Amino acid sequence: MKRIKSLPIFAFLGILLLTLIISSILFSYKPVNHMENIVDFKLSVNDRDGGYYHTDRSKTDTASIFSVGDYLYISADMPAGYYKSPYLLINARYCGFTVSLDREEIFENKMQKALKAEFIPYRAVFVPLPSRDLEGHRLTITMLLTEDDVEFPIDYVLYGDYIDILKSFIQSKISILFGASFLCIFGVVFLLIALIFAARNYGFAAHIVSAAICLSFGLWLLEYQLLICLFYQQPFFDNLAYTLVFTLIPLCLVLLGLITGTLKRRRFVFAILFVIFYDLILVIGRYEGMTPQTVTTGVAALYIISSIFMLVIEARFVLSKRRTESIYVQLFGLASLNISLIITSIYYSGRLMSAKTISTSLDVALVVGASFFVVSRMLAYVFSLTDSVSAHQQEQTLSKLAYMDSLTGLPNRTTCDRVFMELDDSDLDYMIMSLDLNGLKVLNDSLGHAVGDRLIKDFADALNICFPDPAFRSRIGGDEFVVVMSEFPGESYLASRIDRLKKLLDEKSKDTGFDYSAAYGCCFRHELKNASSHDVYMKADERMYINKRMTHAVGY
Amino acid sequence: MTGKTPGRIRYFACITLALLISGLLIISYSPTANPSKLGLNAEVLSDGWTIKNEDGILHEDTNLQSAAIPPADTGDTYILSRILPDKEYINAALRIRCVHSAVKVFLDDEEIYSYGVEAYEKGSILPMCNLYVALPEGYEGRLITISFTAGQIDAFSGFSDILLGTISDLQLFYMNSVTIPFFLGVFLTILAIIYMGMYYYLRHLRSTDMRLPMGAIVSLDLGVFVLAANNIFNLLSSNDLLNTLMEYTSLYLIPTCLTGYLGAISKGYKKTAFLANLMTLINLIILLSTIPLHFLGIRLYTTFAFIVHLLCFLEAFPVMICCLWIIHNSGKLRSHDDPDYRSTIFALSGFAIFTFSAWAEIISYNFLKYFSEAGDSRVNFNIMVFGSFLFVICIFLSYYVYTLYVIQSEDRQKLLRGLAYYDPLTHLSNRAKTQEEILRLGNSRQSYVIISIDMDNLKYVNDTYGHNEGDKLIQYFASMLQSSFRASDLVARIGGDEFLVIMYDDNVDLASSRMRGLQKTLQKNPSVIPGVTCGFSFGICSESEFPGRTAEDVYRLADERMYAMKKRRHIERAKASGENNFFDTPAPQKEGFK
Repeated sequence: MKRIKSLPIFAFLGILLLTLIISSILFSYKPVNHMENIVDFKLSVNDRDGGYYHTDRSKTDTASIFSVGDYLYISADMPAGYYKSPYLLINARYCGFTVSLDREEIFENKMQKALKAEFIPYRAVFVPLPSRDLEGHRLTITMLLTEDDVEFPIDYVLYGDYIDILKSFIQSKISILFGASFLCIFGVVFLLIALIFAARNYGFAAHIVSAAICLSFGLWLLEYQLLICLFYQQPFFDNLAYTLVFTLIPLCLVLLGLITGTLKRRRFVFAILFVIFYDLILVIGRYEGMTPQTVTTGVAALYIISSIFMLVIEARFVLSKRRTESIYVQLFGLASLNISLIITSIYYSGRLMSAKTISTSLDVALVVGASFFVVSRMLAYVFSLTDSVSAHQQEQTLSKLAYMDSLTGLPNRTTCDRVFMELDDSDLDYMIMSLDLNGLKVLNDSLGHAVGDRLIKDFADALNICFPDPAFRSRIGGDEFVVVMSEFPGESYLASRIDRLKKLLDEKSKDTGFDYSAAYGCCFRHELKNASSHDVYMKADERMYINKRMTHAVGY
Repeated sequence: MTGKTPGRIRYFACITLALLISGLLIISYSPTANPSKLGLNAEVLSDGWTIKNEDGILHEDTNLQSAAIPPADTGDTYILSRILPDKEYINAALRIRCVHSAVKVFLDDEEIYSYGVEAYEKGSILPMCNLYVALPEGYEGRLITISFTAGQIDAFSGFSDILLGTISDLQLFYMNSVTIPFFLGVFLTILAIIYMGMYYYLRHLRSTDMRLPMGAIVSLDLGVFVLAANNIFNLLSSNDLLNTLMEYTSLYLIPTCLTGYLGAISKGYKKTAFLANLMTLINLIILLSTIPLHFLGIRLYTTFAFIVHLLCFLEAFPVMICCLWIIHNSGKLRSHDDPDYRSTIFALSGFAIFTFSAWAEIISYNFLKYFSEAGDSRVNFNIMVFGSFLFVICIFLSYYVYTLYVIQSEDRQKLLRGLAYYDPLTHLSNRAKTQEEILRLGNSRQSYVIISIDMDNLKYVNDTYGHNEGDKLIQYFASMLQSSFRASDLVARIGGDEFLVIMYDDNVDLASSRMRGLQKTLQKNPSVIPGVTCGFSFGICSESEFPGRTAEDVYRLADERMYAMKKRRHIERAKASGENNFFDTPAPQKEGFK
């Protein structure tokens, strides 16, 4: 494996940082009018069991736990300020609520659902107020809780001009909005492409799973960060977060198994089955009336434990020797996703302990983690691209090995067979010459293979000189050679070439004292009717043996 | 590889899933032109408008969409008025689309809103944006008058629908209508940024292809254009002009980016690359010349759209010719399975899709602006959005094709490795494999025994019976030799009649007993060629005889011993002066060279 130098990673982080800086300079929003975060509420509670109590404390100090059927009333005096389009932004969960101004109800959100104690997700709600001077008027928000064991259900109430509220809401979540939208589309696009390719090819499972992770993580972020209400307000999305949150860990585990190739190990299968079983218990528990807090804690625990488990596996695998750069990069991406999941879970459970305001730096960390995952997936593709270049080169050397004789560099028997087949497909006239070295056997037996190899090499060189391209020369056996010519001026040319070869070989024999002579036989296609190249070769071979016997007869 | 049936099941599963997902996406995208259909508190005020200009009343009680007005030049003022409906909305507002103009809104002659008047008087650029005009309580049934004063030449040639409703619902309706462009634009932009970040890393891996950075720039430009054309940046910034400037800049950059990308993919086609680079240069010069013209006060930066459109339209012809030329030539040069060819095809077809969509967009925009009744207010950029999206997807696909190629070539490599290291006639290992193995043994501490073997009679059989019979004899001998050794031992044919065995343990006795066993077996069994026994000579040498020497030396000694045995057998044969010259007697004694 090539060592990954840190410079490219810094270059990537640099581009990311540059983008963040440029966009934060370009996209800044200052509200035109002042916005007021209303905090000083007076809270009264009407307990389901009939208990009624009243508190003067502002809601941030409230540490009480409420249960299903409780009515909560908060009231405050409207602050000063006149707006043309006055709105309230209320982030509420697990409750239906109404807003009234001076005891006159002006807005109602999901009260019908709340009365039936159905599930109501975490949502940002824009509440229109009448456009007149509201200073000193009494604002009352009545909440009906739908879950047991929950804290104060409203995060904050923002009062101001509609456009100001909207734009600053988007501004506070700009990184999540862009990151999560990208993840969604990236997931969908890659899921489709990978599915189409997987229909006919192998090895796309990891791509499919990672696309599903992106889609599910992106949708979950959009939903959980309240952004989906900017686009849609259909109830279809109400249970989305709860569905998606269970899919992430099993998908991540499967991806880890696919990357490391350990998916089919028994321990791994058990781990995945256990996580699915755990998820199922939580889902069933939720339907059977488990409180959202318990479920959330359970999910957060699962996320933290299995992310740490995966990080350990990733670290062990990276330190072992089985990794390639591609696996390394993929594991790096998955690890960054795991870290961001751990951050989310801690953040998630942190929210439960005390209702904090949303922290932008955590959002950025989350998006950076997810984007590293995306980058690793894209690098995994592009890796294959760069690998393909080197694979191509390797393939070429291998094919050279496969079709060449390693001693002489001439094409071998396999290539020769292919050339014969090609000859059968064409209509051209051709000549096949079979050659056989006379002295090889004796030389091999008396002086050893090293000398024999020398003889073969010299003979091949002589063939290359006398029958240059486009003639085809091949060594098809120990001392057997074949020459194929399909374009030549005539038989006299052939005779002159053979003479040349004989002369060269004679010279060699005189120089070295070894027998360089060779027997040969030629056959043309036109000599035999309807003959295959094999027949022509057999004929040439036959003539070669006649030639051999004659020379031997002369020699002895 | 699995069998045929599971493959088919997987095929159908994948395709069905893909169709299902795309079906869901199509269903979820259903654009609505009317907010009330979405259950929102808003309505479109399309009918009943009176349109005036300085010359008097142009239309009375008309629909805004059918109100034909000529393209408005600087200073032209159009005044729209009608009675507001009686329906009461909480926090009511009007949504007015302002196109390079100063807008004033009056309710019963009382000015309630004005926009861009200062900028108009200064003569600077007026943005394109959606204005939300909050209406005071008690607006029902009163007369609303809106005046548009064009801030540049050809500013607008029609009026978009004016909407009335609760301001948050108007906003939600807007978000609903730009959902798809928003998501796709964000996708293209962030994809481009990620590509750019990755480029340095990829260059580090010796990949110097300009396709990737150019593709990223195209994607960034298109993404920014899609976002700006749908006013997304207005949501993120206090400055309305920013969105307009980004829209125009990205629009002006489109031809430059496209020709630049064409230049990058036509590497290797000199004429095409030259043409593409020339066009890039021209585009860049035109683009840059708009900036001094703006600051010299000759022409506003936002008034070059028509020139850029014309440029796009004209350049599409040579660009198309270049594309066809590349496809034609690369098809000639390469086989259709060549991944490079296929990825070029993907990139170019994406290119073609985009060029056509841009064409359609430009033609429809200019037709609407200058010739049709409705004017440019009807333009929606969705053709171009999908065109850009498909284009970038095609860039992706070309990478996928490479991935696919690599996965397939792994299989091919296995096959080739087989060919490279195995003798096709006997299916034993070949000379190359043996050489590699001997080199490997030289570096390892493994103990081993090398046996060099030489067949008798092959020459004679080849010369008397022909090569076919000779091949048969070789195959027969090879299979017998192979069966005498364990699978873990290396049995190779390294020449015509030369074989070599490497046993991976230090047991010379075992080796020689195996060889003698083989000699006996061959002698007993009838050979493939009647009358010719398959005999052989061999020499054994073990690594432990030469501690510290190379495997090459061990092999050479084994070879020498083989020749010594061969000579000895010749002499014996001569002594036996047998009736059958080619009948071999087994070697009578153990190898004694130690």
